Amino acid sequence: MQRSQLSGITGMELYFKKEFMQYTGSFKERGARNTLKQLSKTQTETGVIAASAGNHALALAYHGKQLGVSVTVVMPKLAPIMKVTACRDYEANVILFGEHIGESKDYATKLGEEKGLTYINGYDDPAVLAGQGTIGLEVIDQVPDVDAVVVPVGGGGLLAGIALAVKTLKPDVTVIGVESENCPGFSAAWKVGHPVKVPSMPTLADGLAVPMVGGNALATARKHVDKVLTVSENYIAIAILRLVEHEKAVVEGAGAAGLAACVAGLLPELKGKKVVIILCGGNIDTTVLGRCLERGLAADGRLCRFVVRVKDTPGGCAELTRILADMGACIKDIFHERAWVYSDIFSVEVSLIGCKLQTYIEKLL
Amino acid sequence: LEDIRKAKETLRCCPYVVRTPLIKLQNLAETAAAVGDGDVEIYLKLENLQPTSSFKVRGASNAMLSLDPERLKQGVCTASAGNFAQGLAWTAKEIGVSCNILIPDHTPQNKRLAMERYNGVLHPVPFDTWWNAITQHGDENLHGHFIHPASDPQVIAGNGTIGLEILEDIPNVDAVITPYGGGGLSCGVATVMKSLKPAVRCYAAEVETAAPLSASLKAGCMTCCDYVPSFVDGIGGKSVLPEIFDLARNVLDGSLVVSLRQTADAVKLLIEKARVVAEGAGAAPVAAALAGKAGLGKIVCVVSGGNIDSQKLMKVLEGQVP
Repeated sequence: MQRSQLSGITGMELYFKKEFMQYTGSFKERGARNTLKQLSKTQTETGVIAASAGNHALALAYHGKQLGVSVTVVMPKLAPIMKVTACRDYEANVILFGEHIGESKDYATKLGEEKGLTYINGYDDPAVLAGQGTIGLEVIDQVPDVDAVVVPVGGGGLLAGIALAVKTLKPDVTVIGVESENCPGFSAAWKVGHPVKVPSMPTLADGLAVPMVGGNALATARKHVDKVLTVSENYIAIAILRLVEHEKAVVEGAGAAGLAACVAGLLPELKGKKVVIILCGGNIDTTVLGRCLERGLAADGRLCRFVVRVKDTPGGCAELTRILADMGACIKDIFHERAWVYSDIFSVEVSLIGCKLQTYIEKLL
Repeated sequence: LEDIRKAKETLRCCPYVVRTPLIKLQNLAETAAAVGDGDVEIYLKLENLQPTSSFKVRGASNAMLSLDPERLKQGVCTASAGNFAQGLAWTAKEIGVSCNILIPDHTPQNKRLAMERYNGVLHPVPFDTWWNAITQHGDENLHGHFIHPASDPQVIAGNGTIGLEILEDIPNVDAVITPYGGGGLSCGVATVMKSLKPAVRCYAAEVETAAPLSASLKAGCMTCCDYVPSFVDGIGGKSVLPEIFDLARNVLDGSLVVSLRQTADAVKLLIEKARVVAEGAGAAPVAAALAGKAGLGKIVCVVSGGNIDSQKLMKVLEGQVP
C-alpha cells in the first residue's frame, strides 16, 4: 500500500486497502471462496443458496462458477439491475423475491431447506468471517507499523474478521468500525449485547444497510473492536468525491464510510497516526455516482445555486450569463420562472446552478 | 534500452514513483461483440494511480535524479500546462528544489491551482512564446534546469520503464497501445518492445479531433493537421515534434484514431468495469482496443492519467460527450 495523497486533508498518514479492485468489485469474494472451498462433497454437488442484493451475490456467483458449484441467489425485487445482470452473467440461478432483503432471506432459507441447498450467510458464516479476516493479515503484512484500522460495518462480518486477525497479531492496533447513521445496527447491538433490529432508512451506503447484525460477527467483534461510530450521508458523498478526485478510485458508499468518518473529523485521536482504511467495495450505480459527485461539489462550495431576478426583455439573461462567463464560471443548469414572480410583471426569476470555486461565488454574491 | 534499464534502477529506489497495477479488464461481453468473436484480452496498466495521477512522474523523477546534485539544487523548469507540469512540480517539492513552469496565458484556473498546489511557480506567457519554448527546448527567462516534457531523453527513458514492467507482468503480450501527445510515452514504451520483443505490436492512440501522428504517418512526413479542442486535453496537437517523429515512425506500428464519443464511452466503461477514473487521453487506448483497432490477442492499454475535471466526469457518467 502506498501513502495516500489524502493524508494531507485528514492530518493522518493514510493507507487504503483497495478491496474494490477484486474481480467482482468487493472483498466479499474472500469469504465466499473460502466457504465454497470448505463445502463437503455432497454440499458441492447439491449447490448453495444465499439472499443478497449485492456484493455477496456477485462474489458467490463468480466463485461458484469458477469452482463448479451451482449457486442460487435470491435478490429483493428492487435490487440494482447491474448486479442482477452480473449474477446472471456468472450463470447463477437468480430469483427476484421480496420487498426488502429480510423477505428475500426468509424465502431463501425456506427454499434452501426444501432443496437441500447449503445456505451461506454473507456476513455471519464462520468460514466467511475467516475469509474476510485475511484482509487483516494482509494489512499487518503491508503496513507493519500501522496504528489504526478503520472498517465499514454492515452485517459485521468484515469488522469481526479483521478485528480478530489484527488484534491477535498486534493487540496495540486500534480497530474502529464505521456505520451509516441511517442503519446503526452494530452500535445498537453493541449497547445491549446481542443483535437487535434497527429501522433502516435508505442510504448511499446500501452495502451497509443490514438492519440486524450477525450473531457470530457481533460475538467475535465485541472482544476486539475498540469503538464503533456512525457517519452521515453527506460525508459519505464527500468521501466518494475525494476518492474519485485524489485516488482516481470508484468506491461505493459502503466503501467510502471509513474515509467519511476521517473527513468528518470524527476521529481526531488518529491525527498524526498511521491509519489503514478499508475501501471495501466499488459497485456503485453510475447514476448514484454522478449524484454523489454533485453532492460533494456542493458541500465543497464548488457548486452553488442561487436565484436572481432579471429583466424579462431581450438581453436580460444574456447579460447575466456574460457576467458569469467573464468570471470563468460555468453554468450547469438554468431555469426560467415567470408565473411565480410577484414583483413587477417585467421581471423573471432565474435559478442557476453553476460550478466554480468558492472565491468566485463570494465575488458574485 | 540501456538508458531505460538504468531508469528502472533509479526509479525502483526512489519514493516518488510506484510500480502500478496491471489488471485485466473483466466482464466484457462488449469486447467480444465489438471485435467479432475473436480472442481478445484487454489489460490496463494503471498509470492513473501514480502520485499526481499520471505516468509523468516517471520521466520527471528520472530526469531530476539523473542530474548532477549541484545542478539539481538550482531547481528545474519546464513548459507545460498539464500533467507533466504537475508531475515535475510534485517531485521537485518532494525532493526540495524549486520548479518554474511556463504556461500559456489561457490556461484554465483549475490547472493553475493543481500546479500551484505542488508549489510550482507559474509564468504565464502568450501561446506563441510558450510553443517556442517547446520547440527550442527552453526559455532564457526561466530559472532552473529545463526539462522538456516529451523529448528529454531521460524523460523518455523514465516512460520506458512502463514497458519493462508490462513485459514482467505479461511476458506473452501481443500488443501495447499508448496515448500519443508529445510522443514521449509511446516512444519510450515502444523502444522497450522493439528491443526485447519485436513481435509485440506497438500502437499510438489519438483522437480524431487532433491526430497529427496519424496524418504524418499517412503522408510519410511531418505534417500539420486540423486541431479542434476537446475534453481530451492530454493529447492532440496541431503537429508532431520533429525530434520525436523519426523515432516514433521507427518504433510504432501505427496510430489508432478514435472518436470523442468512443473515448467518453471508454471513460465510462473504466469507471463501471474497472472502478478507476481515467481522463480522456488515458481512456483513448482502451477505446481503440474495444473498437477492434488493435487486433487480437493480449492487448495492454496504458491508462496514462486520471486528471479529468469533475464536471466533465459527471457529463460522461450521464452518457454525454463533455
